[in-house]
Amino acid sequence: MNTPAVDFQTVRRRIGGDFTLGPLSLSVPRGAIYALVGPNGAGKSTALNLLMGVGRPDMGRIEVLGHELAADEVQIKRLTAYVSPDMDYRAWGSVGNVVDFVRGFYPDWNVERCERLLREFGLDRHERVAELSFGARIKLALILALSREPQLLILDEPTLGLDAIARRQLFAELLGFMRCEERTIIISSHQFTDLERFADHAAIIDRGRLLTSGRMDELLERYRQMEARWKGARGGPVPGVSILDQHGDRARLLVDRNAVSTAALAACGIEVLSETPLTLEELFLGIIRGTSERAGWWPRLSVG
Amino acid sequence: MNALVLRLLKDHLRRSVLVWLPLVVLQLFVISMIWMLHGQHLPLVGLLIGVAGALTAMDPGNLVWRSLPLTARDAAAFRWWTTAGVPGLLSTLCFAAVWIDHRQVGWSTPSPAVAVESVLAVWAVLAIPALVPHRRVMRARGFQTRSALLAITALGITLALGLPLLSPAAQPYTWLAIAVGWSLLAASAVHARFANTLHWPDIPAATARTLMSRGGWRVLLWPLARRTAIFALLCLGAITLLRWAFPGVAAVAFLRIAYLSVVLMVSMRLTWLRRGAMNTLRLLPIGVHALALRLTAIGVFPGSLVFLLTAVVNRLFPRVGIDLPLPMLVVSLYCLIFFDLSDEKFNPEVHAADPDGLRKWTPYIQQFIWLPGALGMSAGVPALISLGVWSVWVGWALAGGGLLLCVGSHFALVRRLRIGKHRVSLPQGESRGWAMPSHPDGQAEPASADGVVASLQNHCSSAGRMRPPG
Repeated sequence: MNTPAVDFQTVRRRIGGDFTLGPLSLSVPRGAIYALVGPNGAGKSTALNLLMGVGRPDMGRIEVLGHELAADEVQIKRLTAYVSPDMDYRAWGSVGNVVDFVRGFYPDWNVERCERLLREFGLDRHERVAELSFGARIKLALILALSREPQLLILDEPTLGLDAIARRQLFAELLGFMRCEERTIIISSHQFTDLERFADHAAIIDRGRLLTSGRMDELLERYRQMEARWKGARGGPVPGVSILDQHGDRARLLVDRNAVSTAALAACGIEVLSETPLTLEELFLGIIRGTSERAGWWPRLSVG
Repeated sequence: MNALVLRLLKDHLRRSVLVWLPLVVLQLFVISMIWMLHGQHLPLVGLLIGVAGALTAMDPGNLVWRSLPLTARDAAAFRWWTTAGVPGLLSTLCFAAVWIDHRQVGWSTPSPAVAVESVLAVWAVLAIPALVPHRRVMRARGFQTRSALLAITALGITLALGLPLLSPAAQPYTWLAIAVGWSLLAASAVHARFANTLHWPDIPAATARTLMSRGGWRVLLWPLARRTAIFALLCLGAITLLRWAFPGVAAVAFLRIAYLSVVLMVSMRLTWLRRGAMNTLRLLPIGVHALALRLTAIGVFPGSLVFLLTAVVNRLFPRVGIDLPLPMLVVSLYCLIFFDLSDEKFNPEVHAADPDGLRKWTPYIQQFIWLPGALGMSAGVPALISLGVWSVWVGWALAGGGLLLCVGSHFALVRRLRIGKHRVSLPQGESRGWAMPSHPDGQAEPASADGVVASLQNHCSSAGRMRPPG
């Protein structure tokens, strides 16, 4: 099937007077593990909430698994599982009550898997949700999501509050979930190490805008951090280059190699002293810094 | 009703049994009282169950509900049954039970026609909660919270008094009102039955932003003052109307005792913000005594304000008849302070951490003795007055004893704060359980004011589950 798992088409959503998501155009291919990263307040949760119909876009169109969100919200929810730290199950009392309540909505509920996950994550059906730790509540939400066979799994900061053991369990379960090639995971997290190992696609958003996106390996190949020195007088801005640090005539640059080559840099009077590949975290920090208003006088990174 | 709606309904009734069961019991009493007093009022019970159902059944702001694959028809049907269907059935059962009971014991019973009229009227009035959207939806549409509270107040008064529609002069209007109500009820049922598109409300993050604009102690005090003002108005309105509608009841000390007990209980509940935020407040860079005093001030604020208002109204409008004697108010205030200071829930770990002193007994007092104690003390004063035992010396003795009790309770609270263990309900995103131990000298660990205020704001907004986008 060629249709993407999720397709944001120039979606815009205004929240209050001080934050606007978009216009956001983003396509998540089927079978991908898609990492959505951005600083706090970037709009990640807002974008993921829109996928579940929590709030409606002021403009644009959202398609999920080939269904238009506005028309087929219920069908989309049947095919999708969602985990967020904001999910509040306290009203149902005990863990068992929550499980029994939620499973009735999904014919594809796997009782054995649910019980196994409850055991492995150390949750008791008789425990009261209100008395669970924050991490345990996240675990409960994960169990409810993974006890089904959803086509799309949306995870909004699923590792928040999880210890290392639970995080490892989570990713093991997610890898098991991805055995079926048609399934897709969208994950928003600040655990870059986990994301870099686990995800095969990534998108970086900030202040409601998509800064860059693509396959993880291509993204990490595309951007480079370079130690450089100016030869002679400093020239004007160079598209695709932003300064991360500067000391005298030396600087640390973030370079988009799709936009500018080493030869082009040399032509602009920049001598590259060394070149190092980036981790996802470094790429994120570099792009956010390069596009920040505080980046200074010199060129803001051209991204897209 | 399909199987899914039935399942949702069962789940809702199971979860909210502690809400609707006391309301059913209350309604039994209301019906019985109105019939026994031969008032020309039509008991309109069921409304509170309907309103409670409308508030608790399905929260459109909760991500759990919003992520479920519920069709619009099922959601609408579920909401209709929780706000109109089930309350109507429960109320009908209440009427039947009271009618049979009164007949069996030979108490005053209205004619079957009047009883049927009452049942029809209750169903008719249930059209209101059935048609009113959820509070979050209304808030998203710009409907003010205080307007909703006024409406709920009106409903509460209607419940307590019934409608004065059983007099022959009012009879045609009664049937007109019932006809209009049934039409609206039918309209709401049809709307629920044929809803074919899902319209979850588009809820903005207004609550979080409103709270973010405040800081410091105002985060706690402002909502408390607002709720207190509403509560005070409710109390005064209720007691005034009860006296006006049922002059016979006014002569009974029960009314005064009930009034004071309600003030004591509700004012404790109103201070939930302060209790819930105790761990966060402990991080403020102030000493335990100062913190204990502020906590106490916040804790007794609602009840004190209601008492003060009662005294003012009693002085300014003697014909209203809220003639609660001053000693009674003073004793009740002491009760309030004492029970507020000892509001920690019983917890074996806290108990084990501080096995000595007053702290040892406060959980038991709170759990088992406080309500009858408060009732007894409140009732004791009028009893002393009526027996002629009351004198200035008794008043001074009571005042002195109460003062000592409060001072002792204050030090108990200080001890608890120093031990630094409080079981609290924290919002998501914060660790839950036990607070950090304090400095040996009793000073709290300093924390940045911004951090504490942000944490308080998070706590206050936790009900709305609002987070900044990101």
